[in-house]
Amino acid sequence: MTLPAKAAEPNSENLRFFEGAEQGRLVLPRCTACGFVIWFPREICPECGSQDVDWFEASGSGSIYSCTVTRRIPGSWGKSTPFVLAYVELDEGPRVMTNIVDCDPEQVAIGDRVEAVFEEATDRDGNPGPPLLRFRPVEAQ
Amino acid sequence: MISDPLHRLDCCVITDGGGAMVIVSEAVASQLERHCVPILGTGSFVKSSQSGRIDLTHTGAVRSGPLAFNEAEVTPDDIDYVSIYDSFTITVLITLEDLGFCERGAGGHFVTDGGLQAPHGKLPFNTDGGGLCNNHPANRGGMTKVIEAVRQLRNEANAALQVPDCELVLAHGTGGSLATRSASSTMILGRSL
Repeated sequence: MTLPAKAAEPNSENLRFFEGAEQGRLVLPRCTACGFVIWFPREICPECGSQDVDWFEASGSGSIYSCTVTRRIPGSWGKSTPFVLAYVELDEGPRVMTNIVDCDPEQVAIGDRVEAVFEEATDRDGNPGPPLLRFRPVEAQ
Repeated sequence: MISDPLHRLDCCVITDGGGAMVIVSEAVASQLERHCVPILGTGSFVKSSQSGRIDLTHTGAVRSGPLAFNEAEVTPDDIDYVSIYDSFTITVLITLEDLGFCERGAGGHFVTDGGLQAPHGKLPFNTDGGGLCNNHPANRGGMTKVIEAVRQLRNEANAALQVPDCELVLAHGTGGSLATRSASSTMILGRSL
């Protein structure tokens, strides 16, 4: 089941993240002052306030911190139920709100190992935009 | 099932509705014939996104609650009635834990024996039916919480659910999405000035 995927509009603060996404790579900012890995992508550290940020390719691996199977929802997403809404904790630390895709929703559970995937996304006019970060289970289900 | 593990009846009703509070000085209150109830303590707290490391096991009530209890100089054991924002059943369980009415993780056990039932449960709760059973006016579910708490103090709640000798009540509101819980406000009110 394909989920709706609305393309983001990159800006100068997060352009590196979306350039990585175009290549299927999870590229994240890390504070050079305190080492904190920053989510959502931006060029300021929410922990120490430094604007000195490096970009690096993250592993793309993580674990499900929390999840739910959405079974009823109004609007365009209603055609895609059931689907999994989750927070994934990246191995680098951040907890990312996302969808788990390429899965049997009934089998997804907290603690499951997942990996990043980048899905095609379109803007409101239907034109392709930067791919959307989602996650899929690592182990076969 | 709406969204695991929330069934339909775990989700509040959405209704029209509204309310208002009139807050006056003690000098004005003393001139009024209507029974006025004092605000003994308040607390508000905004829970941030925690720098992208959100913890979903608590709400901002862990801060707004102690602020209100400290100002009122009372403890959870002293409270005779609570109005707690109840968008979903889990909202109530986490808030009960955050406010110190039970231990963390014990919210389910705290409510399963009927302890929240009025008028004689250990912590009578949302006697107007709350959001889960009666009302949730758009995004103003907190307003009706305060109103019902004041009714209890004035001995004006539904007779079958009026808490006897209700002296001290707590009203609590929660804002933001279910997965973020960005804002919390707690108010403790007493019966007489």
